[in-house]
Order: sequence, then structure tokens, then C-alpha cells
Amino acid sequence: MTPGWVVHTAMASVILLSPLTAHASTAPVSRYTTSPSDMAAPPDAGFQEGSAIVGAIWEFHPETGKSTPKPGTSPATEDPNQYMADTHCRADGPDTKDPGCDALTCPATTPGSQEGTPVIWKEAPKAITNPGWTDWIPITGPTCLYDPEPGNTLANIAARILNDFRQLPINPGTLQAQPFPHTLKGGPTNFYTTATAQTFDLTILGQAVHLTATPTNHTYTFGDGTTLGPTPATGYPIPQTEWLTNQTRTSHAYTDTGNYPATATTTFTGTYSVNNGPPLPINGTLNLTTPAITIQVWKTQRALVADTCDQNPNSWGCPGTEPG
Amino acid sequence: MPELAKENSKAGLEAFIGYWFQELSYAYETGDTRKSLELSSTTCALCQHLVKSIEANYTNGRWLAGGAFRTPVIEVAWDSNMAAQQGKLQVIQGEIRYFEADGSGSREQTAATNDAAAFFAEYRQGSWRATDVGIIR
Repeated sequence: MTPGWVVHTAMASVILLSPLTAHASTAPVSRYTTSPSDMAAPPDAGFQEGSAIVGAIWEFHPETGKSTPKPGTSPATEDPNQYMADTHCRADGPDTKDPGCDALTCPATTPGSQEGTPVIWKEAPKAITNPGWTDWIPITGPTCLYDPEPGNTLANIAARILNDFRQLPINPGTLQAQPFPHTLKGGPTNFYTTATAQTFDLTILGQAVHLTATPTNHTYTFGDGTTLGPTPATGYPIPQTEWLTNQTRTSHAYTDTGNYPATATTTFTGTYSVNNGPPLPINGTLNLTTPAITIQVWKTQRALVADTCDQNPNSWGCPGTEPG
Repeated sequence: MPELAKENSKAGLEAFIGYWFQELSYAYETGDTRKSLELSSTTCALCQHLVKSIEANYTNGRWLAGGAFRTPVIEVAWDSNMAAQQGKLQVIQGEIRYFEADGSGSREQTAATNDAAAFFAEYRQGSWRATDVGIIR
């Protein structure tokens, strides 16, 4: 050991924390043990059965070519890892301090406040109750952690992050319709939302917090009493040649003429990281609704006419004439 | 591992997915799950679950027969803007039979299955790793 290492050890402590303690369920990975005393019937080892047991069930969306967790089936959203801010800054091996930590200075962020401590964030599976050396995997380079007792601050941030998340000026996007503003009774009107993932840099309890809000589900309210969703489908624009003929996952056919206010409500989930630490899930969601757009549903009428509008501008259906 | 499966590309990931299921087949056959664990992230709940289930069926002299995978169709939706990639595939798993050390059956067999599955992976430090796997319903 180098003298520098000893000095550092004396002043440093290792802080263990669980990012959000609200998840109390047992991680699926620890469902079976392989201890010699395990004489009960062995578990099913099938791929399909296993997917059902751990809730690894997905929904495929042909329009994006991607899959998303099927709502209500996936406990996989629970963070399987625990985190530690290693103030020893050990990159790999018990005695190797990352030289980046010596080079890193963490000056006070506001006059009169405490200096920060260089740390390296590490993660280990929650299934390991008392992770040892080889279980903790570094996931960041040297970074600053501000607080004499960072564990408390992180717990305090975790306690209030949902409230802060819900007050952010997150843009709900807009609801778009094709065709718009006029559409036809009985034809599929294509709807899509423009909600996107958004990031925010905040200061909470003196710590730099980077927050990401991600749209996960949408509920379409068409204004005629019908709704669609919640669904992960954001919809997508289609070429004009397909308007009113191509049915999409998010299209809607109005059964009557009239003016309808349509909106989309998007559910956002969030993650946050403190002082460039690992991203932690926010245990709660936020629902935001787009401004209403007015869909004017018309009907078509056909008639046989003798002249073109050039020949007779007053002919039935020509611009400027009253439909009769 | 095939050279192609080491490549950070659409074809590379498709080769990796096929190889991943071959390694998992090997684990069913031998009880040796090390390679499958190496190719899978701790975030992959199904990967960890299958490894534990296989290991539990190779303790106390127990053993498995069958369970080999075939993956006839693998399609990756490559997105060059993302570090994490995903694909979908057909997963056919043979019937699994379970035996005690004395050769008697240790539990009812698992019938053969045929599913669409989603496969999520990340390329880090020169190799692919499965971050999540599951069936599509």
C-alpha cells in the first residue's frame, strides 16, 4: 500500500444505499437456490414458462419494428442492482486507486458550502446480499459527490424526486391528425402524438440532478366519447395518399358529422442521476394532456353534373356555391 | 464464438443472438452455465432465471435431457442512434425431461415450445451482451 492510500482510507467511508426502497418484492433471480439441502422438486427450466414466471413478456409494434414491455406483466422494470459510491476510488482491485480521483478537484459549488469528495459509482446485483470485491462493478469514472453524508442526501432526494418530477415543465407534445382540420365521417382519421423523451438539469438539495422523462403510454380521447389506450403506440404520420383509407393502430373513424375536441394524454416515467451517478428509477408516473385540437367531421355528397366549373361557375358543388 | 458475432453491426448482432441460444442449449445439455452467464447482463431477469433453473436441475446428481433451441428466423431492428439494440426471433425449444441421479423422473416434463421472442443487447468493450430477453405476446 502506498502512503497516499492509507491517508485516503482514514478519511473515507463507503456508503451503501438502495436507490428506491419502495420495491420490496423478491428479485426473480433468487427464486431458486441450489444448496445441497434443496431436495424439493426441481424447477421447470423451460424458456416459455420462465418468461411467464419472471414476467419477461413483450409486445411487438409493427410500425416501429420494436418491442416494449407488455403492460402489467413485467416486473423487469424493477432495478435489479444496488449502488455504492466508493470514496476509495478503487477502479479495479482492492489497492488500486484510480489516478483520476487524485487529479479531480471538487470545489464547493456555492460559497461557504462543503467541498465534494471524488468517488467512483459501482453497482452489484441486489441478489447478492453482501457484495464482495469482485461483485461491485464500476459504472462511472471519477466524479464528485457533495455532502459530508452523501447517503442521507441521496435518501432525501429519493424521497422528494417524484414531487419534483411532477412539477417539471415537461412538454406533453401535440396531437396531430390526418387529414386535419377537416376529415370525413366513416373514414379512418390517423392520429399521432409528438411527445418525446426530455432531459432536465436541476439542483436539488445542493446536488446536481440530471432527470430524464420518457413517454411510455398514451391515451387518445377523440372527443366523440370514445378513447383509445393507454397504449405504448405513439402513432406515426402516413403519406397523403393513404389518408382516410389506411387504418393504423391509432386511427379513429367518426360515426357522425360535427366538431370534436381531441386530445392525447401521455404517461411519462422518469429516471434521475445525482452528480453523474448511475440513473435511478423514479417510483411514480406523470400524466400530461396535449392541448385539444378541433376535428371537423364532414360528410361527402355526390351528384352528376353537366358542366365543369370552368364552363359554368354556378354549377352544383363549384367553389362559391351553396351545396344543395 | 463466430467472428461475425463479435461485430458491432446488424449482421453481427443477428449472429450473436443465434450463438447466445446455442450456448444456452449447451447449458441445458451439460449444466455448465458459465458461458451463458458471461454473455448475459445481470439486468436480464429471464437469463438469470434460466441459469438458476438449469443449475438447480444439475445439483444432487440430477440431470436434464432435451431443451435444445432452434432459432430459424432472427431479425434485428438496427438503430444507429442507439447504443442498445433489439431484435425479434423465433425460438423453438425441444421438450425437457428431468431426472434424479438414479434415473427416475424428478418432475413432469416441459413440452416443446415455439415462440416469438424479443432480444435486447448492448455492445460494450468489444462484445455483445444480452440485456433482456422474453417472449412476445
